[in-house]
Amino acid sequence: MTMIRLKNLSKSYNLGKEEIPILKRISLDVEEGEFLAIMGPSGSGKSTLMNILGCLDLPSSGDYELESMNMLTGHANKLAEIRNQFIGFVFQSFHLLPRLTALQNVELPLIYSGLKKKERKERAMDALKKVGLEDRASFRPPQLSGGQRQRVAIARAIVNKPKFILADEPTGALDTKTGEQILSLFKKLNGEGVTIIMITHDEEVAKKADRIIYIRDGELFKERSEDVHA
Amino acid sequence: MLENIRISFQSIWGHKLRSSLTMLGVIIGIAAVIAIFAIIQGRSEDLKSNLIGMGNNTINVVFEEEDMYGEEGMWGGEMSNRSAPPIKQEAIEEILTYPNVNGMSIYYEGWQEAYHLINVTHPRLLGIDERYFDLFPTTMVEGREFTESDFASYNQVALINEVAMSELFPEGDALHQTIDIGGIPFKVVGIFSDAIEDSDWYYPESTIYLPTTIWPLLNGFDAPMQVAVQASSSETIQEVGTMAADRLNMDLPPYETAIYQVADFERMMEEISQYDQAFAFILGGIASISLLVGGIGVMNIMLVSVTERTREIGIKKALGAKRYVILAQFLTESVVLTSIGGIIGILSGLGIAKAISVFANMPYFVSVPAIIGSFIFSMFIGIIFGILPSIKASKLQPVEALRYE
Repeated sequence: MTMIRLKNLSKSYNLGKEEIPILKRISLDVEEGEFLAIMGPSGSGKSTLMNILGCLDLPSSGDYELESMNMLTGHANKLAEIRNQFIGFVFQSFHLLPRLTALQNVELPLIYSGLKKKERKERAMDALKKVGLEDRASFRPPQLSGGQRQRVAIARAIVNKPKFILADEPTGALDTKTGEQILSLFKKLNGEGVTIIMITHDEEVAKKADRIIYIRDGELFKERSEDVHA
Repeated sequence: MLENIRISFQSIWGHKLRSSLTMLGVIIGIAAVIAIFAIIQGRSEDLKSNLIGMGNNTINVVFEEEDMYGEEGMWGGEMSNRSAPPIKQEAIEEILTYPNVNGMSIYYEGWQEAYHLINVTHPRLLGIDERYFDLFPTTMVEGREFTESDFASYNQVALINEVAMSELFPEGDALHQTIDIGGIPFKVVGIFSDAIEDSDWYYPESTIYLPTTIWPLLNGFDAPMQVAVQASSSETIQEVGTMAADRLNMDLPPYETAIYQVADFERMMEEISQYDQAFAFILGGIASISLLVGGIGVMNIMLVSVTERTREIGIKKALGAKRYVILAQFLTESVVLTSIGGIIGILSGLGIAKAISVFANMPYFVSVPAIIGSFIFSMFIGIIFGILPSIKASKLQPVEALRYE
């Protein structure tokens, strides 16, 4: 079943008189339960695509549907609600709040969806258990290793039971071994039915996914073309 | 909300130096207002209680030409030493039965040199009746007060205060000595201290008391009498004074042009509060300037804080924080910051006022409305100067905020 449908999505920026196209009429379907990797070099428009997928930014034109629901409602507060309810973010540099404990960090999305304190704690603890960090719940990010921090971030991404996880270079700041642990965690979550969209420029990382889509100069390709590497 | 306040405290505590420097503007502003207000209010309260009822709810009924306290106000009249018909004993008895009247005293007052050997003093000379000390209590240091027989037998006795004693008897030992006033000898039967009048508005002066009954020996029978009436409370002073004056006027002969009258305390109160208001305006002006400066400092730091925490804002927004959540967070922080400043300012202001009152021997008055007002105002500053940075934070685009390093 198709979960995400992008149709003729374009994005361009105005730099003075010139109009710079970043995404050129992109269309993409993502199935429910899929583990999709989007690969591309820097400047290819993959960050912009990720921002639009994450409802952090709006396209210039085109449609974006999640389970037949229009995601492009425009209003900032509405977009915040969509992000909170449907999307779990995992960032390259973790983006944890350093002054909060691991548990409090995981709780954040639940606070914004207005859950009661007790339920928040329980669900955040469950999410930490899923990533194997329940014994680190009261640690603050600076006391955790890079891999542990990313696992806290993943716990935070899944705590609100989102429709899909959007991971932006999730292993980019980690060494190979730790990166592999994170990827197998993604694999495990995917096995439990979580849809994952991962953006990366690393072929090895992308290979872990079920399907790889290449992006180059604002366009999507099914196959990796040789000149990208050159 | 509580969560926001907790986060605000954490963030303020996390930047101790910066937060305290930021608060300093608000602290100084509020402290200045509180301190000046406490001192001015203190003086004004002191002035009121001393002027009105001489500090013990006592009012003087004065025998003067009509309208002494007329249009030109209480400050316009001049005490004259005109003569007056003697006050009848029955009038006094009657006034003492009036409601809210606590006491009443009739006395003569004048200035006349007193001698002992070659020593001289220029005392305030009072001829007092047996009820005088009920209204104006005094502390005897040596000897005794006047007795009934002093009044009844026209005894030539005197009470002198410590100032008069030091001037007349430099070598001490004044009791039972004889002093000379207007060529008439008086025996010193007691020495009293001026403790009761030792407030800011009096300095101890040479004072001698004689019994009323002996006064005509010095100044004849038609010397003007002073009438002091004590009310049960400061609220009833005016009423009690007016009633006493009316009663005394009933006994006046028809040809008399002067009448007994009392100062219009309500007008005096009004004048004092007009001065207070003028002070309040000037104060308000000074305070608003210093608080404006403090507020701008707060705004500046809040803007820095928003910039510093751009990434945090981005993360929160990405996770679904709506605009008002971010707005509330920063606004709370700004209000908490200025409120702490306000509280410290109030405490240090009271401390400064207390210190001034101790060192400069001035009264001070803790005005609860002023404290509450300052606290609310300091919160208000937090809102006014925190709103712009908070709006700025709430409007940050999540994409740009996340990209911010």
